[in-house]
Amino acid sequence: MSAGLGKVFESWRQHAPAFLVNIETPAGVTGSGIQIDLHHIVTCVHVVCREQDAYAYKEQLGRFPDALREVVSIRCGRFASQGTVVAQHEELDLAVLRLATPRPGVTPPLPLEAGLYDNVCVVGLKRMAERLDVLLNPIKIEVPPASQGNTRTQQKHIYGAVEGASGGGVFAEQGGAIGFLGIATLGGEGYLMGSFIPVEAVLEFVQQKLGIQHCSPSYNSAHALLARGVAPTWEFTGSAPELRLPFTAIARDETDTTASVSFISRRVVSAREARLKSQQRILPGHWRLPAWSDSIEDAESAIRNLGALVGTRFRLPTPDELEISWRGSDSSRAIEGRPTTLSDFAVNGRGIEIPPPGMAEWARDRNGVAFAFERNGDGGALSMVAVPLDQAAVWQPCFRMAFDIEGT
Amino acid sequence: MTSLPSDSAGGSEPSGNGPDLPPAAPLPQAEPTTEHKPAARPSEAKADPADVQKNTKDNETDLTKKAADGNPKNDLSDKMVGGRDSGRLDTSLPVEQERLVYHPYRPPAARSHRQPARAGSHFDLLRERLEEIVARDESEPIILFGLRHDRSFPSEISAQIGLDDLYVRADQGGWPSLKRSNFDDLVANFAAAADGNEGATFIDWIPLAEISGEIGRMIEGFYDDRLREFEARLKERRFRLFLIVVIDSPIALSTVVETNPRIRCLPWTDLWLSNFAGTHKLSANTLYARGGAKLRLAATWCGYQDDDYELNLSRTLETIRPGNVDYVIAEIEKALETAKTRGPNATIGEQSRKDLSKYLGAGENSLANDPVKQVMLSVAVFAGGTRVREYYRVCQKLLPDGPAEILRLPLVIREEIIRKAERLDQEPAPLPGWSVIFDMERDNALGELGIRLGQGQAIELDGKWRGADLKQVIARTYPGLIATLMERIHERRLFLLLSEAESSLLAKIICEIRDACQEGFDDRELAMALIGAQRGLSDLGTPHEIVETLYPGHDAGQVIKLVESIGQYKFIADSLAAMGTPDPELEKHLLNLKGIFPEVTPENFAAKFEALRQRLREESVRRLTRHLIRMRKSSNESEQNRPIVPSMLDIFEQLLPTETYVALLTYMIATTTEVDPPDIGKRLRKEYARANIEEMVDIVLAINQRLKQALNYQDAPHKNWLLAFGPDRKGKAHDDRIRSLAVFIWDIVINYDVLRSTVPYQRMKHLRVVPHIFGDIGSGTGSASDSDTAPEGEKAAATIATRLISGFLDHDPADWLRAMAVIESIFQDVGRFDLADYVQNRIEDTVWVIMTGAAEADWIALQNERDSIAGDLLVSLTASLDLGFERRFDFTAQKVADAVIDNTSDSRWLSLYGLFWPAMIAHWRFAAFGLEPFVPGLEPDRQFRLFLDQLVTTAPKRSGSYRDGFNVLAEAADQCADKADTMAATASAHLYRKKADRLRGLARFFSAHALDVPVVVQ
Repeated sequence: MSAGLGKVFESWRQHAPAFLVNIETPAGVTGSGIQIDLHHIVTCVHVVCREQDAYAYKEQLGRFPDALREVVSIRCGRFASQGTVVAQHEELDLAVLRLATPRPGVTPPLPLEAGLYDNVCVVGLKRMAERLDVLLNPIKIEVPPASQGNTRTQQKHIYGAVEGASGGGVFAEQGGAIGFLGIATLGGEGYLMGSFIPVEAVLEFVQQKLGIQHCSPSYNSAHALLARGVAPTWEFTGSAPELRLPFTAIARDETDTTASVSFISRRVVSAREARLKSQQRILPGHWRLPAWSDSIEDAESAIRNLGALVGTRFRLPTPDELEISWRGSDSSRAIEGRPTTLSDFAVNGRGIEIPPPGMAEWARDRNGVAFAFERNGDGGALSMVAVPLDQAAVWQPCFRMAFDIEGT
Repeated sequence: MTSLPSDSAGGSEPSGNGPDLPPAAPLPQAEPTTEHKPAARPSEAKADPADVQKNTKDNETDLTKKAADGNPKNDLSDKMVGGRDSGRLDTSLPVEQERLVYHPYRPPAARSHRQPARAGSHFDLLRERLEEIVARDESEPIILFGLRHDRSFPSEISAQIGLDDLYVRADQGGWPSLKRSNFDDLVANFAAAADGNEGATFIDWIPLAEISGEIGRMIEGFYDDRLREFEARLKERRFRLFLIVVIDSPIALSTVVETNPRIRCLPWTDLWLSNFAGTHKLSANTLYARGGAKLRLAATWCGYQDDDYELNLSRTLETIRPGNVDYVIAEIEKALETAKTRGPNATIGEQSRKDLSKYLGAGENSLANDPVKQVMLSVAVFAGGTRVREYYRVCQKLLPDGPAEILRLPLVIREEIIRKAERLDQEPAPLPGWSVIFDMERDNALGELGIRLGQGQAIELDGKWRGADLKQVIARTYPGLIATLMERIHERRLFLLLSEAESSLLAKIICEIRDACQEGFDDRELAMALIGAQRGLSDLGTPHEIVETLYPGHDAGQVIKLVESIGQYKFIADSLAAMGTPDPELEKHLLNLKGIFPEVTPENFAAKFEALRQRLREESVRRLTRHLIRMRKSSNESEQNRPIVPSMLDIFEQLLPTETYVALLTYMIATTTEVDPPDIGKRLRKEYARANIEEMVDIVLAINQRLKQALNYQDAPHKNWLLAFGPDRKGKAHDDRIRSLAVFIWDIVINYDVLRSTVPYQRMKHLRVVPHIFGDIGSGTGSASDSDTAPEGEKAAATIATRLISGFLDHDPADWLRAMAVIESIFQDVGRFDLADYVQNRIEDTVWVIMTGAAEADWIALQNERDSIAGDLLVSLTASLDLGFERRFDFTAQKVADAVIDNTSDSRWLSLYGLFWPAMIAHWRFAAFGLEPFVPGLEPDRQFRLFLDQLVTTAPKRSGSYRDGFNVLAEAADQCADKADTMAATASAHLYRKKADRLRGLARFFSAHALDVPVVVQ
């Protein structure tokens, strides 16, 4: 790899961007894909179809082989699921997979207008034994895009073909930011030539087939997270009425691009939410109260129920995550003489609501050890105090959800 | 809130005896209890003791039957016990209970018709809070609401609670009946009202000030088996009880919540506004629109931090009189502001006063026989913020003497006492004191007394006492208690016995009491207590024990006998020898005696005793000073009117021995910046002025010793000495002993900075006065670091530079020397001060001012030749002054001394002594700024010029002598440079020449300001 690759590309070498996945068919064909929302991945038809040489098939029959309903394995870091082909482009080597398990917290790459950029890379995710390695192939775009009607359909470049990059993304760096140029395809003229489907065609396709208006949220901040394909904030909406669960991505050290990232709920679970899938009745006041739990198992059960409602798997935050999310001071005061309500939680600089002094919250570390932390520091500097677990029931700690962004 | 008295049967057991007990016989008339028992109302007073019946198991059935009859007031007359004369209700006795009838709640249709849309919006906050509480405590069969309200049913709560199957009491005026109900009655009444309908919610209310019996205990948070059983019975039938505790007394909400954390407080301003509008026929909508939101916001209560404002606001709103809407809104606005300022100094509430009286022991309800709580509360009031450890320790030390109340002792100790008492063959052991009870009960007492632990285990009074300035109340109402505490501190010498932290707390408590009592506080009692902090010989034990300490390993009795015998034999032997008839036998015997313990002699025996005495005195003086300074720091208001340190010193002057008093004063000057040096100096001068010669010698020696010790310490407040004494007092110098003391002290302080060494200036670390001279000048009140902490007296004093100019530089050297001669005359008999020696030292100082500050390279070589150089310089000085070519310092000093003592001697020699003045100016300049010339405009130049300008302004007549003096010193400096050259110390020679240049520069400066009058040396 040339030394001229930008900082973001270099960081991708250590941590694949979250939207980049590895695809493997039952026949052992591997390729890459780009996750465009909670459920969908864009890749190439020739990666997921059963036909060994999809391009020869197309030359003979004038279309790509039918890949609909094909089931493939999707992997990215510790995340593993299956994807089913739910849409296929009529002309182009483009297919959309739907994940069997939704993968939240991923933001698709920001599209970049077609053009002749200097620092361009094909990025894929290749499986090397049990490990997934990032493929970074610098390319040079030489031929302007071909068009079908108003849509650019293919653009050629000088390409050192590497197996496994098909279906991956072609990215260009501009001004320190990374833009998505299109989906890399294998076809080309000769060994050193390659092509990709420009982003305009990809967007048009997903919009037509899936009704996805845009697959690239625009954020003003948290560039580091965006560059890693991690959404700075995430919100689940569930089947239950008005169930909205907002999350914020947090990293142990935000300046370290290799630090792991996870998501933590911006607010604690409300008493109403905790009762949604239980037999308990919901009273009017439960909308405004935080959920409380005498035991961490009850809290986790409530969290599991909520995860089921939005189709994902939640866990309690780790002590580290809780500590990061509680950072910052506020002027909230301990509440006496009435139940603590959700409005008593102060919002810190990250938009995360912190319990008022005197309230405790459940946490469980990666080794499975349970903790309850009491918020200390009345109206000033904030601190966490571990509550003895045998006495935690007295505090009736509240709880919030967290989930990992796998594959980063 | 107060807890029920422990002997109240109504608080400890149900009024019904329970289903399995036989009917109790009518009880004799009980002692009326006063806590929470209001005087009987006329309707209640009709009861006859004979009508008292037991509330048996059958009650439930009877009451159910009565409820079915629909005649709830049948037995209203059966509420009283004790007859008409008792005038009080006794809930401890069973009565035939008035039945409580509950009926389903129906929202008043008329009201909802009147305020169809807005009725909800006025109480939306209340509704929200109710919903939250009901949701949070949904599994609780009993929810207690706390609501600040007048003594009436807050009916809006029923309307806003939003539950079906809600039942309310039919007779809303019948809370007295509710308060006498027990749990069994309530379950029975609920069952009767619900009529088989499970899941009903009963809402009821009771004024906080009227709670009693089982319901009272429930409200006060006693979660006992009876309550658990009650809850279980309610749960069994899926009944819920919502009991509104109406807070109708001026008590902080945190007190209510602390008493029982299960009480949920409700917002009250909307209800108040609604009631006010309804009572005075005002438009509720208008009032809500214009003042509702502000009131809500202002009365938001989240915890004890909001107590003061919330309570003050509620009390202030009660005073608003009816008027039109504009007036009422204006009054509300005013109340919102007024509540901010009516802080803790507001008048003490009635409840707080009752509680105070209960624990501190005055009034009918007092528990004056509980000294534990009395001491704990009174100390806590004056020692807020103290760590609980020191608090407990001080409380324990302040408990009364004598045996504790036996019945409060632990059972094991009680049995031990009884067992021992039964054994006639043994002396009865002393009974345990109050500290045993204190150790046992202190933690529990904290909660009862309304004392809680804050951050860092610091004690503080909780919300129970908020709104009451307890210090003022105790100071005005309980003078006897304060006197008792002070006596205990004094008699037990607590200032001596307690640790530093504890005695510091004690000082704080006393100062708080003094602040609160103001002029009423007896400073003499405090001074006596402080004097107890001294440790004397008597504290070390018997004379035998002291001797054992002085001569370890020896038999103390023998030592004493030996010393006495030696003394007696020596006296006789000396007498015989004086008479010319010495007795060899006697002398031999004396020698034998001395040989028994050679190390023990009458002389060293006395010296050791004296040394021990002085050591103890020093320790005492240090302790006293520490206590005084602590008290000064802890004093607030009273410090303005009656500063504590001068007040204590006034009394010490009468109570302490002179030598201790003088030692204390000198120690204070020498060690602390927290005192007023002029005041201390005045006191020392007063002692000095009225002393005889022997005492004067002692005082001067004491000061001299302390001053020398202080000057050895870099960080001691050396300025104090110059501020405490003033040598510039008017009057004739030679017969002014007081002034001579000041001159003596000043002279020591000033000449200390002259170093008898050729060391370079940058190495000089011992300077005491120099650092304060030029930094002060122009700043007005001393150096910045000191001025912040300096007491008022010191701030008012002149700067050190100004003091030095007026007190030293403006003085005629001859006058100064005459004052020193007075000191010599005082020491005449003792012979410890010689004027000629003193003069010689100052002449040597002058020479050393020139010699010091050599170059780094060769200062040691010059130091080795100091005598030779000094002699040469003296020759130079005497030659310049036309006094010949004298190199003997003792000779010149004697000449100077003779000149001042004997007027016939040659007074020209005084000019040699007078060189010390310009020499000191030069030394200060060189030590502070070095030998380089000043760069015009820079800070050193500005500071030194300011100093010189001030000098020539203050002492214009001295300019001529300074001019001459500097010229003489410059010649000597040149001489010194030449001498250094001959010793090949060229670097130093160069510096000496620079010094000569600077001295000539100074001479030129003074020359410009010198008056054309001769300076006459008298």
